[in-house]
Amino acid sequence: MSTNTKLQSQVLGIPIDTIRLLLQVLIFVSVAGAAISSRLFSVIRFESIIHEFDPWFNFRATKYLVTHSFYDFLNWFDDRTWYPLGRVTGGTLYPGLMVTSGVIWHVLRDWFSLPIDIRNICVMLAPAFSGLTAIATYALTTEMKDSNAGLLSAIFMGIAPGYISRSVAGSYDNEAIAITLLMATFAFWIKAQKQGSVLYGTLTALLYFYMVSAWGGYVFITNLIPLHVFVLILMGRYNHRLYTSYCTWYAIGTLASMQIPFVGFLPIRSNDHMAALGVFGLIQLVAFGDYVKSQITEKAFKTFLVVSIASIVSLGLGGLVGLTALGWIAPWTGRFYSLWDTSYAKIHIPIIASVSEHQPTAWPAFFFDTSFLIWLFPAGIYLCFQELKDEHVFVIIYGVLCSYFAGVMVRLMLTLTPVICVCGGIAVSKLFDAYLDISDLFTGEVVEEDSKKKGSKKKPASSATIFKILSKVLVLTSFAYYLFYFVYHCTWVTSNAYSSPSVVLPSRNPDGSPTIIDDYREAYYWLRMNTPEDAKVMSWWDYGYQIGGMADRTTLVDNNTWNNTHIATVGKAMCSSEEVSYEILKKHDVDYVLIIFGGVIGFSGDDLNKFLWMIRISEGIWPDEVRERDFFTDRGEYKVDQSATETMKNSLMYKMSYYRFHDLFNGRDGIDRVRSQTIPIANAPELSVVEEAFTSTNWIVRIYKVKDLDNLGRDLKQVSAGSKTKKSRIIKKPKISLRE
Amino acid sequence: MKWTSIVLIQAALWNLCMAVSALDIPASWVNEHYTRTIDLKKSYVRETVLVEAKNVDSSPISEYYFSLPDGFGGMGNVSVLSAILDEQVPLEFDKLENNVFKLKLPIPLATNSRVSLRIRYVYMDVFSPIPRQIGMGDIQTLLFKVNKFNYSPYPTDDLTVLVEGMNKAKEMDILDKPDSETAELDVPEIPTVSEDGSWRLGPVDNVKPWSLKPVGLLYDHNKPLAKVHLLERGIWLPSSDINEFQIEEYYEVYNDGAELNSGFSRVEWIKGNYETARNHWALSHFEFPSTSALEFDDYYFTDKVGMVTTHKKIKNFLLFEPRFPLFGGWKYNFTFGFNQKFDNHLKKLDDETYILKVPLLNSALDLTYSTVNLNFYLPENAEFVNVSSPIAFQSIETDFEKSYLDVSDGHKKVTVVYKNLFEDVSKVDVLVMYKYTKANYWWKVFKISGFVFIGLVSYYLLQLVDLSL
Repeated sequence: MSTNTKLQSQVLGIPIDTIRLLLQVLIFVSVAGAAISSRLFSVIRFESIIHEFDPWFNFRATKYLVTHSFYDFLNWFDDRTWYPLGRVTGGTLYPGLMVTSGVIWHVLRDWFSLPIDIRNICVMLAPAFSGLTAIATYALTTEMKDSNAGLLSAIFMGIAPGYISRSVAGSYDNEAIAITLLMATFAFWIKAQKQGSVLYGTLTALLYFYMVSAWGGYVFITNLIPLHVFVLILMGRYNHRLYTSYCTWYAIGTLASMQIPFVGFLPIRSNDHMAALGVFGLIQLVAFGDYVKSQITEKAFKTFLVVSIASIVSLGLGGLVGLTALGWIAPWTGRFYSLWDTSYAKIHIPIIASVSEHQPTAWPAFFFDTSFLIWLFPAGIYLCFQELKDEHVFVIIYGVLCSYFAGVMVRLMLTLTPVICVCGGIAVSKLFDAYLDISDLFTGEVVEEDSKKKGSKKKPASSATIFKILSKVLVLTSFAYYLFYFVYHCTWVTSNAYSSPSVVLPSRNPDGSPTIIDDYREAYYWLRMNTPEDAKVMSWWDYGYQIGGMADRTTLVDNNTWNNTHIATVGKAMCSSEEVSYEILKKHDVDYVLIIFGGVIGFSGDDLNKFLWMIRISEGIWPDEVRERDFFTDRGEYKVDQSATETMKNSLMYKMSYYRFHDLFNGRDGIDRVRSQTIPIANAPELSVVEEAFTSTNWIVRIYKVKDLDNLGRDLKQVSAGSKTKKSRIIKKPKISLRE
Repeated sequence: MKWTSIVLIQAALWNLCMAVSALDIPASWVNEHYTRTIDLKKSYVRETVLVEAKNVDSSPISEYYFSLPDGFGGMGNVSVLSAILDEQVPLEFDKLENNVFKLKLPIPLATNSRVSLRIRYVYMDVFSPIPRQIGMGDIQTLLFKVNKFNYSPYPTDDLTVLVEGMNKAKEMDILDKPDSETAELDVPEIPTVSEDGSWRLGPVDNVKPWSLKPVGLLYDHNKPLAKVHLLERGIWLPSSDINEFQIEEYYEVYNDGAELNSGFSRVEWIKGNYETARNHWALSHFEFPSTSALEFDDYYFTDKVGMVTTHKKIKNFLLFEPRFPLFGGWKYNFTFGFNQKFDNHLKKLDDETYILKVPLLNSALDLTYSTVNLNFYLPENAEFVNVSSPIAFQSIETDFEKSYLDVSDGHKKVTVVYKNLFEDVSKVDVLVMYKYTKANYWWKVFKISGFVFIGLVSYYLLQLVDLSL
């Protein structure tokens, strides 16, 4: 017997535990390798470049951090954005991301003698952290089932497109590190509540603090952990371990989170944080009740319970309503409302609705982003229900909540993906536990041999074995196929959908060779090189961060969107007639106006397609002056061709977009390739308050210079009209009366 | 009162000194034949002076004073000057003030003997576009101010001035005043013959010393005046036996020519087909000549927002288009990097002494440079010995620059600063001598591996600490 166990626990003379460890390390390394390398498509295909919009701000802030001191960074007042208001940048950002890359930069430079460019660190941060996310997911899933499930979910997490969409190389956004922290915090929380350990509770709190410093989505943890505790209490599963871990996490985590300037006193004032505070109070009462219960009779305890619950609920609700009414605690934020009422934003806050990632998710997106895991997800939840230990309750709550949120907002797919991977891991591993276990086949043969000896019931047993083998082979091959297909799908999606920097657009030459459209950088660099350093550039807010990051010029509005009125002002300037716009431009010292126009090459994300949002947002502030209806034709269509309304044709945006557009068509009617509409030559706009300063190669970016006030005090429209009619220069003698 | 008079006397004395220093040239030569050839084809001026001079002094002389034909501050920044005796012997010279050079003949020349000198020089920043602002389709016209005479300290028997490389040139009177009191303004008429693209002034006889007649030449020059304000040319030398070194050049360029009279209109740019036109005054491409010795291996172009992909190799050129065409006054900067093979560039004198020979510039065509910092990054722990440059430099500095895995002070950085260069300087080589021993190399390897070892050992030791409660 002893030799037998020795044989089993050794392969080629190496203990099986060592092999297991070695395999695990190997798997981790390859999972991290797969996670990182599949995020490098954009670097290989384009270059090491910061993507999209928000990352440009984070990148700029990081550069500020590494060139100034940390305290300068926290006290950073940025007068180059939101002109003339400025922005208290240091106090209104989550510094975790910038500090992380700043620390990595310093450590590599000072300790390892690797003076890597800060841009490359920013670009590679998200892929590097995705490797860590896989490990954190492993830790979390291992707590749920075992390390087999952990490894599977780590692989899923590493390459699931739902997470890759926000963590490819160059997508230097808060989510890049936040998902890692989310998973790590949860893993430690599960460990803490399982063991009732103060150490793990503290680690959870520290990771929570890191998360708070990195992403506004920390509120998700702030609510999910209390909800877990609350549900456990309702299920009658209160124990001292739960009390210890929750109180440790809440006390340390809350105090730590208040050290972030942007968060400050929110944890005790904002309604988003009230659940955590409430559960903290509740768990004290429950602990007290638990103590009382152990001291008095059951009947007395029942009375005690009823009285205390009634008084607490009324006190709590009354306090909440009262404090909100008094304005001591902040009301819920707009994003929060739009979570519950999907049409809330559209009606009340067009600026939130105008962001494409705040739109509700279309159902194919779930399949697109998680492939076969989406249908394994309910199976995993079901398996959790079957076992239903404390930690399984957590996964169930997480899964249910996030499924709802992900349906409301596209960007919250991101928080759903990890729990899908965890559940998928549990389900697949359970399946493999059952079907990969071939020991019963051998035991079946033993039975067969036994029956052989006895000489009875030979046939049924063997046919059962065949069916067993068949079913195993069938299930295993189909799942091998699904796994294979999953990897294939993830790679395809990553490569085709999520690896475009959107600053640089891929294209093809007439001969079919690949090329890139680099209009954004062309125009931004022109601004940077050839305009005065203090020039103010007005553009729609989408391009604010990019202008700040690449063109290094002062902007009026940017992607921070903290001041709706200011954005509406820009919107009004864009959608009003030249006279009205000129007044706004001059009041805001605007030197250049930048617009995006895709009509020449057929780039659909241009300003005319976003124009309705500009109109809606400014209509929200000036309902008398801007009316959305005026931009639609009588038949209710949004048109730019000959049926375009007068208001449309007179708007500054329309004029700037199509200025000299017809010259491309030799003065004949032009064809807008995005909207597939013909722009008649009669609509060819004349500009009098701005003049063309620069247009990029493919016309995507057009920059106009705002004219100075006429030095004779004339209306600029008259001036340009006058210069048009009088080709020959007429020198008038000054009137005699002027000289007197 | 007393003070002001002293100041006045001082000022007068100072003026006198200035005048004397300019005048203090003995009239010991007569220029028998003096030919100036001015070449205006490029964005700088290349001038060649041929002089046949006769010693009219009573004793043998070994110095010939040569003054640039300026006299009214019209020559901008002078780049390189070279003087050759009898078509073969390069002459040494001292630069005195007011653009006067003292050429030193190898042996004193006897009375009544003759020498023939060829003096070549290049100067830049002398053109002004007239009018300053033009339309995109217009032709750029430049004003070039020139002295019709030779402004020599010696009398000249026979003077000819040739101007080449102009289109549709017109002469204009200008109001510039001579900046020296010695200038001779009473000059004879000089006959002018103009053929297509060139002018011939003279010959004119008996020109007095310091003769000056500034005129303006207005001519069509439909090419950009590309100017590099600053070039940081960095040459990174490897510490091991790799047969390549890296070159990275950072350019800050602008177009010194005419400005656009309106905003930049893409329609006009497309319609005029100026992108591909070789003769347009907007600076839309740089042509870096490539030879078999200079093949630009693994080259790249970047600027401060990332890669610039508009470049291609065609035949003997590397063509680079900036992100946008540069009109007058427009600026751009970019970084150009590539690898170059060591063949014929590095010579090992002995076990530890190396001599590196590299071209001073790697210039695109028709470029002039205000400041060039030539940076040599020697391997870490190398010892810099000397730099030898055929062209005078402004200053030389050494510093350190930390690069990847530099665990001591970093690469030794030797910066040689030059002013006012032009494209042809790329034919000139600079020599750098430095010492780098095998011990230095192994010391670095040992140090890096030591750090890695310490790191691993401390990790191991940390693992031994038992933190469990």
